[in-house]
Amino acid sequence: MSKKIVVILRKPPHGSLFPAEGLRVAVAVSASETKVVSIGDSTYAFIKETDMTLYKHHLDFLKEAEIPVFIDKDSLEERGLAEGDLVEGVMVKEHTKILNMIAEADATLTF
Amino acid sequence: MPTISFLFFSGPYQSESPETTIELAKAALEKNMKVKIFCYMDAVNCVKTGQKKVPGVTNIEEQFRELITKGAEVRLCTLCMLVRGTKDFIEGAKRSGTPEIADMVEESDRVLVIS
Repeated sequence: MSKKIVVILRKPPHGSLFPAEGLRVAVAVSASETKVVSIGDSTYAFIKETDMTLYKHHLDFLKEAEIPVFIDKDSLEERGLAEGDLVEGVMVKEHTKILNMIAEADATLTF
Repeated sequence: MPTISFLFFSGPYQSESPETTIELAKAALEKNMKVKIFCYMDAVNCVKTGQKKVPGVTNIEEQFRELITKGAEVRLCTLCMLVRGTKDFIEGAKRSGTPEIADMVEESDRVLVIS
């Protein structure tokens, strides 16, 4: 049975390649039961105005493969952002639910 | 034999992350664990050959050679190497790609991410 993997994005898309690389790895492990969660400054990676050239194709693939991408509600609100600021296809989740996903994972890959 | 894998991000000589990865890997090998290290992003430069030996500074190249000699599997992200122009690397390390991370996760008892 495949493992439950959570790819945790933490770092910003500006000044860092980590969100793009995290999404690349999420694609790579997508044959397993995979979720992507975005917390902290990584939430900026999913704002409509953000240049997604480096990872738009990964996001499109994850959507096709039905690999969910969850955005931490607290992180979003702490940055003065709202669900309406986000690109389509990602889901906002309560912080406790994000924590539960991480706790239930067999492996977490942090970027 | 339990397996521990490291997803490792840092280049050499800027932080102590390489040393941390090396020491944890050595400890695991000493406990007869199978050790796999996937060098991702700047970490591919940790296995470059020709790193100058400086007194008082841990030579990362030598340490990775030792890990491989002791049985650690070291894999390198090929795309990360291409964009950094990393060509010459130590014997025993092997070029790989992100699909290997999927295999590592499935085959390992623990995966540690060190950035």
